[in-house]
Amino acid sequence: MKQTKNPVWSGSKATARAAAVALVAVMTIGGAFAAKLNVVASIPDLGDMAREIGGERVRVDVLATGREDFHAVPARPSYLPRLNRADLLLNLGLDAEHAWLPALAAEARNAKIREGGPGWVETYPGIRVLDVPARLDRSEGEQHPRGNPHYNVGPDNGKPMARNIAEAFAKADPDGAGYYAARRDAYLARLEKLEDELRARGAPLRGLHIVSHHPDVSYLAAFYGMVVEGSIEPKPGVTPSAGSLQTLTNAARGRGVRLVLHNQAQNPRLPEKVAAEIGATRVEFLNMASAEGEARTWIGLQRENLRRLLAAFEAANKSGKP
Amino acid sequence: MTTRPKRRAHGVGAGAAALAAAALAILSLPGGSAFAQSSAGSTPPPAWQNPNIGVVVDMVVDAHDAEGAGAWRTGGINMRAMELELSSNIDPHASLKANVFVSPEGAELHELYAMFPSLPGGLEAKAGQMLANFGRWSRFHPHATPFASEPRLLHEYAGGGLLMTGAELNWLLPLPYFVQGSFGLYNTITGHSHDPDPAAEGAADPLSPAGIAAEEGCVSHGDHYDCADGIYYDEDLLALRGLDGLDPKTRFTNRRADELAFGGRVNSTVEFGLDWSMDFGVSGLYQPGYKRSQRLDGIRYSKALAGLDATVFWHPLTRNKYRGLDFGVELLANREGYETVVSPTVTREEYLTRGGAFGHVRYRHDETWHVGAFGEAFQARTGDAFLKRRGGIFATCNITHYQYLRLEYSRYDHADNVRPINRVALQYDAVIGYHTHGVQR
Repeated sequence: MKQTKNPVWSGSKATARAAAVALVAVMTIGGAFAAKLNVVASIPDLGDMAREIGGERVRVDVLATGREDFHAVPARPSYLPRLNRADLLLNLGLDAEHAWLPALAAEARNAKIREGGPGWVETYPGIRVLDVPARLDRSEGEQHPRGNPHYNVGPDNGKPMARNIAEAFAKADPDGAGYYAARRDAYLARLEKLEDELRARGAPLRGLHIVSHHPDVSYLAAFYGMVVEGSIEPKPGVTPSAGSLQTLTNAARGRGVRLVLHNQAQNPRLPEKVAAEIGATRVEFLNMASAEGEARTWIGLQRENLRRLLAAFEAANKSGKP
Repeated sequence: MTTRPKRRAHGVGAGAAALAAAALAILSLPGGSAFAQSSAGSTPPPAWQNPNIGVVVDMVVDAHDAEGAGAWRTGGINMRAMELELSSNIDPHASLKANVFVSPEGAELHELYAMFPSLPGGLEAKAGQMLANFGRWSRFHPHATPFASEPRLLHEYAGGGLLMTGAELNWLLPLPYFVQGSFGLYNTITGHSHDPDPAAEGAADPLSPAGIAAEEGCVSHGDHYDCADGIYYDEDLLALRGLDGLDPKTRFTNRRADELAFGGRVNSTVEFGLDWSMDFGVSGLYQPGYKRSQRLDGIRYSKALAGLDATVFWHPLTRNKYRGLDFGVELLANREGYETVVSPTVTREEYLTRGGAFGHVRYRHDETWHVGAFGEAFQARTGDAFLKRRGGIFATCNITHYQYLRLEYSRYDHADNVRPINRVALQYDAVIGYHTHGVQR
């Protein structure tokens, strides 16, 4: 008996075959994605280190672009889906991102990366924290209650940051522990060389007296041996008054301050005015890695900041400023 | 004030005052435990078991000419809110937030809800008394808006910000971009205000609840009035003059299912490059049995609120600390049933649909100064569809991140054949301790 082909069944088989192929494809793609650790970094510095250490085993997403003041990154709702999918949330800690990141993490519907959760990773352990306030009171300012959180601009702080990230990766993905350790060691060797290079090139800055807009240069100054004579902000985050500016400029003149530093997110008007009043040179430095240019990587950030400091120092010397 | 029966003790006032006192007493006790570690890995902070505590003070001094051209009057310093906020995790799964408003009239429980922030499937649940997830400005605490006065659009259709008791389920959709859907079930649609309206108090019909309240020195507070000897509702005030309110009543206990309110909101955001973005949403609330007829058994009147809002933000990332712009518009429509007495035995139900819009613009010039303007136009909720219009300008001086001074001028054309009211308000706000509004912007 001749069997006739059932067109309906044939169509169903084709559909089923296509569905099976699609399912396998989705599972393969999904599996490939699932194999990677989803890492969200608060700032580009941590994103760069995560890529260096995590290599192909991680997918890295960075919230801040590098242009912002990292104390006050605008908390956009678009961050929520990105945080919702994260396995780890790398951040500086020490309340650096307190004004925006904990609130976002709390609303991301992801218990892993909420503050204090297993995926909330602060990268400061192992760093010698500077400027820890002796008195905790808002009369002392608003932003650095647990000590100065701007350690990412200190070239010698890269190693503990990298170790903390590698440790978090190994904990979240034990199968990749060896992979992360090998990449960490390779990166640490590069950082070791970087420190030597920067120390040698930055030698002229030793003993240089500086003033900053916000107290975010302590680690940078400590590395190069510069002396911080004060900040335009009388306390972290507090807008200066005419009186506090007068006190600062009087003191800065007496101590031979040569450079006035401010970061990329601060209005240059006030530092320019202070620099003009005390006969110093204004210099804009980067207090985090940026989205473009030389400072896209954390290593590039350190080199770029030194380049800017040396250029300003030379300009100050040429102009004959004291 | 004339003598009157004290029909109710002050709502939750006495209880909340006791709660606040007890909470403060508990908070002052030393906490600590040998096994707790601070996040710095050093010794535990002495109060590690205590909840986060914050206090916000919101004071307004205003002057207005509601009593006639050139007849400027002031209510003196209005302590709009001394807001005591307590919040903490209950356990790894839930957190609790309480907000007690303390005013010269007593203490009032403002918000008290439990939140379950990380349910499976991108869900988050809230249950308790809360500012409902509806529209844009309704969800803001009075100290957090860029202007000193509350939008009259909300006063007109909702009695102020929608402070409601119920439960909300918020769903972050599993999409690469932000879309959130919310569904809420509430006891009833009710609003809340901390900004007494000179238009309501100075020019109201002397035989209306607002007019009687003004004469008796009572202060409008959402759906009731705070008077010297307790809380009074509209019908209580009317009873003082031997009057019977024609409106059906909205307060009742032992509700039927169709006397509950439900609603939802869907909101999203789009970004235009690095510096520009826009938040937008659509909201709705419906209560089939919002009011009961006082004359006929089984007759109920519904209320529906619908909203549409969009806000554009310019946050130039390199200068976001000291420069910015936001502007937006909120549209609101209200459909509500009323009972008209045709004869002693015949009533007629009538539904009125009214609407309006509120718009604002704010420019942040530097870290200290913000300036802006607002304008609104909306139809009267009842009676003739008179178009009420209000506009104003404001300037804010942020002394630091934690305190500001704001000066605002507004002009309100609130009734037909009545001259508009000019109002100048000086607002002072300060916050101590822990205070956050999440990702609200």
